[in-house]
Amino acid sequence: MLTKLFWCFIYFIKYIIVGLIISGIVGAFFPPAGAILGVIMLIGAFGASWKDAGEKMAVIAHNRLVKESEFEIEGFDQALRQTLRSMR
Amino acid sequence: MPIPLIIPILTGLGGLVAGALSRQPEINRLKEQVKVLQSEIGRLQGVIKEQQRQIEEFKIRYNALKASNFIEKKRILGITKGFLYLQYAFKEYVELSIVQARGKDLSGNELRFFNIFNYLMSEQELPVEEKLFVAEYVSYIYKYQIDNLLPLNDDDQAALIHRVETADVN
Repeated sequence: MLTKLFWCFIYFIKYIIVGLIISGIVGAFFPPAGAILGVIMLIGAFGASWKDAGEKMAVIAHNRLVKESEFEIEGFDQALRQTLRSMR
Repeated sequence: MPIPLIIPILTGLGGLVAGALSRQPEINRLKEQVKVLQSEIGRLQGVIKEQQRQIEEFKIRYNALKASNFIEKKRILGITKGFLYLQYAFKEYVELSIVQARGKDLSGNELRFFNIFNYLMSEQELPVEEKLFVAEYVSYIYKYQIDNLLPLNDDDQAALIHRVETADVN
């Protein structure tokens, strides 16, 4: 859970920076529109960063599983090669 | 009233017949495969014995390693489990081939396992995820044997060989 919160925070910062830049540019020309856009992007940043963090966690879990099963896969491949050789 | 019922019944029956006919080439192929296994039962026995010998060898190597050599110990344990996954997967594959050759359907996971293992047996390379599914499927069925590093015993081997020999696929 802590890892997910960490990644959520990282993605949140990313979305906030992007939001600040876009709403800053829009706000320079149309101040009210820039403020509205900024608020919308701030609200959207929560959901988007939570979703991205979830996807990141799935990738981390998958990589961990592959890493943990590294030797088992090595043994499986070795046994498969031997089985195929003896079946020829 | 009976007329509107006839149409869905006929459509359903037609679907069943079409489904059975579309599977027929695959069933015939599996029947041939089982016949090959039956004609080469000695080789099948040899394959299983060789797998067992390798597993026993890895177990001896694992037990001979000192606790301080934990990285190598972990590696040998992983490889031994990999050999066990293959042996039990092979057993399941042979059994599912017989089941399918008799024209029976497999469940979703059984079919996925069978298709993946069929690919592997035809010497095609598959991504790690598919191999992990095979390991997961096998360890779900043979959890006790794999956790305790137990290869197929003589009775299981004899039962498998007997099942192949007596499979009626004509």
